[in-house]
Amino acid sequence: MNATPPTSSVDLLERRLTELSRRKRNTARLLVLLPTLAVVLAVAAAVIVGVRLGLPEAEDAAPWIAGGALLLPLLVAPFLGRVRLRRAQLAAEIDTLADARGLAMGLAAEPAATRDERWTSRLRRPLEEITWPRRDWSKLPLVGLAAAAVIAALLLPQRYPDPVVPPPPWQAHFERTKSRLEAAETHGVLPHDEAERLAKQVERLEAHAGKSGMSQAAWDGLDRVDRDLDRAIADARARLAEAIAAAQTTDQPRANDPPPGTPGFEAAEAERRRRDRDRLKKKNPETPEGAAEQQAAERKRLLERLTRDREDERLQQLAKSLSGLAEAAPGLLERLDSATQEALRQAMEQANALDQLSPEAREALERMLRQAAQQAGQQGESGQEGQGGQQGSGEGQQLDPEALAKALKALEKALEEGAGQLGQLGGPGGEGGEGEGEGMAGLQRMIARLRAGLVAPGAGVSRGPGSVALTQGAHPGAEATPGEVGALPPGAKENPDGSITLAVTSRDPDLDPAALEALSRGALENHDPANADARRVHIAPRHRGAVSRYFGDDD
Amino acid sequence: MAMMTEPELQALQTQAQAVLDGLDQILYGQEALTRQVLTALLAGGHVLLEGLPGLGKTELVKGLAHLSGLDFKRVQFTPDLLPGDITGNHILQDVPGQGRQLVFRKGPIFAQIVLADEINRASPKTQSALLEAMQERSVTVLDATHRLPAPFFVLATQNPVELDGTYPLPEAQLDRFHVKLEVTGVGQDVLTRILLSRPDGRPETPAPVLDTERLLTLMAAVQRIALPEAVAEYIARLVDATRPEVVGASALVKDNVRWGASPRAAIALAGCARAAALLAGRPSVGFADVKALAPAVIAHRLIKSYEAGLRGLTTRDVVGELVGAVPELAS
Repeated sequence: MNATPPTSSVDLLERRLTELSRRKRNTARLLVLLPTLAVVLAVAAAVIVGVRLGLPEAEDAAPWIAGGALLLPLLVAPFLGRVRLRRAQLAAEIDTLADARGLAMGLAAEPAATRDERWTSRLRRPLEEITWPRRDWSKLPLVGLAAAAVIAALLLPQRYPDPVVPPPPWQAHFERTKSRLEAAETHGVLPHDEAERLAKQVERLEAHAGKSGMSQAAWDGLDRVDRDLDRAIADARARLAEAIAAAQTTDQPRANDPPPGTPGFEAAEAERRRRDRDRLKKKNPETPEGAAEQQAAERKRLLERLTRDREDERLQQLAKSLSGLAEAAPGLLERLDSATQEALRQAMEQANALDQLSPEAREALERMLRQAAQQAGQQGESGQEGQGGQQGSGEGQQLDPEALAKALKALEKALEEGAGQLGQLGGPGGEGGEGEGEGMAGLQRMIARLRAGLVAPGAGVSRGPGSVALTQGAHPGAEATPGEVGALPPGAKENPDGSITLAVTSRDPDLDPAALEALSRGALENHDPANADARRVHIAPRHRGAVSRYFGDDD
Repeated sequence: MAMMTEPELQALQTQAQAVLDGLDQILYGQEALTRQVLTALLAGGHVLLEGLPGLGKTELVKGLAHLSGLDFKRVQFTPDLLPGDITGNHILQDVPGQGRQLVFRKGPIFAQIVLADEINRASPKTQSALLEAMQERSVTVLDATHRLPAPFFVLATQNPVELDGTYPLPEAQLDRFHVKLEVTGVGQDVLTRILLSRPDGRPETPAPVLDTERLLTLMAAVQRIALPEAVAEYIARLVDATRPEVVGASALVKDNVRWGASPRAAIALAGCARAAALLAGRPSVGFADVKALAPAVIAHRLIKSYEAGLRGLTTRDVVGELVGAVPELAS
C-alpha cells in the first residue's frame, strides 16, 4: 500500500462529510422547528384571541405573547436538532450522493493520512459535483398560516365586558309583591287558584316592565295585585277573628242567666243538663222505624234543642265562621288535631242539618271536612291515636257538650296560631315588623269587638249574639281609627240577600284609577268597584229573628 | 486492514478479467452468469446451477476448471450412486513386504473443482456425502479424515424439470451453496454465433490463465476488499428482513416465508460482494454490489410458505422485493 500525505482531495472528502453533517443537523432542526413553530404560533393566536375577547386586563400582554411565541422555538431550535450522526452513515450517504459505489465509504473508513491518493483523486470529481438534497420546507405553509392567525388575533379589537347594570328601581316592588304572594299561599290565607292568578299577573307585568320600562299601566297593575292581596289578607283576618271570637264565647254565660252560685243558676243548670241528657240519649236501634222517619225525628229533636239553647245559635255562628274561614283561608284549619277536627265535624253536621248554611258555605265546609278526614286518616296510620273516647262517636251520634267545649278550646288555640301567621303577612298598608305588629293589634281589636257583640253587656232582655249598640255614625267603635277598615260583630249587618257585612270603613272607597278612567270613557259599563260591599248600608238587627221566635206559636 | 492500492487491485482485476473473458468465449451470451460464477468462486463458495439440459452448464464448469488451471473431476449423479463412490473407499491391497492392507482409495471428491452433474438425481444419502466436504473441506471415511485440496469448489447442476426419480436437495445442503444461479437460454444472435463458430458444437478447450497459486492470491485479495460499516449493516438488515419471526417483519415475509436466511447467508453475501467489487476494480464494496447479488445468494436459502406456493411467488421474488424495500441507510 502506498500511503500518501493528505491532499486537497482528502480534505475534500472530509469537507464533504462535515458539510453533510451540518446539513443533516440543520435539516433535523428544520423538521422539528417548523411544526413546533406552527403549533406555538397557533396556540399563541388562540391565547391572544382569548385575551381580546375576554381578558381586557391582559391586553398589554398580547404583543408579548406573539413575540414570545415567535422567539421561543427559535431559541430552542439549536437544542431540538441534536442528532448524533455516525461517520459511517455520513460516508454512506456521501457515497450514495456521489455515486461512488463504495469508494467514498471505503476511504472514509480509513485515516486521512493513509488514504491512497489515486483512489482519492478518482473520488474528487464526484465529490465536487455532488448534488445536495433539497431541504424539506413542506411545513412552511403551516407556519405562515399560524403567523397569519397571530397577526389576525393581534388586529382583533379588544373587547371590554359590559358594565354591571344595576337592577331597575322598580324591581324591588315586584320582588316584594312576589314574596308576599308566596307567603300568603304558604300560610294558606289565599286559595291556590287565586294565588296562581295573581302570580301570573305579576310575571306578565314584570316582563312588560323589563321590555318597555315601568309604565303607568304597569304601576297600576302592580298596585291592583297588591290591593287584591291586601283584600284577601284582610278577609282572612276578619274571618279568623270571627271564628276566634265565636270559639271564645261559646261557653260564656248569657246576659239574663242567673249568676253562678245562686240557687236559680243551679236549678237552671240542672234543668239544662237533664234536657241535654234526654236529648242526647241514644235512640233504641231496634225500634222498627224507617230511615226517613228516623231522620225526621232526629231533625225535630235537633230543632227543639236549637230553638231552646243558646249553644245552638252559637254553634250555628261558629259553623258559619269556620266555613267562611275555610273558604277565605283554607290553610289555617289544617293545623287542628284529629280529635278536634272530629268534634268540629260533628258540630258542622249538626249545624248543616238545620239547612241554614249557604251553598257556598256548605261547599267550603265539605272541603274542609274532607281535608280533616284525610288528615285524621294519615294520623291514624302513623299510630297517633289515643283520642278514642272522642273519636268513637258514630254517625248520627250527637255531640257531647263536654267534647264540644274541649274541641272549642283546641280550635281557639289553633286559630290563635293561625292569627300569628296571618299577622306575619302584614296588613293593608303595613310593611315589615311594624306592619306585623299593627296587623296583630288590629286583629285583637277586631276579636274584642266581636266578643263584645257576642256577650251581653248587662242584665235585661238578650238581643242575641249579634246584639250591638246601634250608633248613627259610620264609626263602629272607639278603637277604630279614621281610614281603617273596621270589622263588625258577626251578624251586625245582615243583608237582605243573606250576606253579612263584616267590616266597614270610614275612609273613601278604594277605587281603581284605571277602571275609573275606563268607566269615564264608557268602556267598562259593568265594572264593579272592589269595595262595593263597604258602601252597603243595609241594617238587619240579628235579634229580630229571636223576637219572632219567642212570640211564635210553636213554643 | 489497509485498503489495496489502485495498481495492486488493477493487477488482480486483470487476472480475474482474463478468466471472465475466457468463460465468455466458452459460453456465448451468458456474461452475467459467468461473472456471478467467478464471483462465487473468488469468494470461496460453491455454486448450484439450475437450468434445462443443453444450456451449457457442464461446459461452463469444465471451461472454468481449465481456465483456472485447477484439478477437475466430474461426478454424474444417479439414483444408484453411493456415498463411497464420491468420497472413496477402503480396499484390500497387497502391499509389498507388508501383506494385504486396507488402503483408502480417494473418490472423485478429491479434486479442486468437482462438477456434481444433476445432483438431485442421487439419493439423499449420497447427497449428504457432500455436506462435510463442502463445509469443512475434508472427508471422513471410517476413522480417517482426509483433507481436500485447496482451493476446493463444488459446482453442481440440477434440472428443474423431469423431476420424476429425483430427490430435492435438503435445506442443509442448499445452504452450503454460496449462490444458486439460473441458467437461461440465449437469443437468436448468440445461437447463430454458436452455429457458425462451432461446427461440432463444442467449444475449444481454453488455455489456462490462472494456476492454483494465483487463484489463491486472488481469493486472498478478495478478503482485503473493504466492507464499509454501512454496507455491512445493510447486509445484516437485509438478511434479517427475510426472517418472519422477527418483530417488525414485513407482511410480505410473514405471508410468504416460513424460514428465513441464516447468518451463513450474510457471510456469503458479504464475500460475494467483495469479490464483485474486486472484479469491478473497486477497493470497497458498494450497496449496488449487495443488491445485485442478494437474490442469487439468499433466495435458495429461504423456505417459502404454502400460501406463497399457491400464489406462484418464488423466493427470488421475495428477495427482490426486500432489496427494494430495505433502506440502504439506517434511520
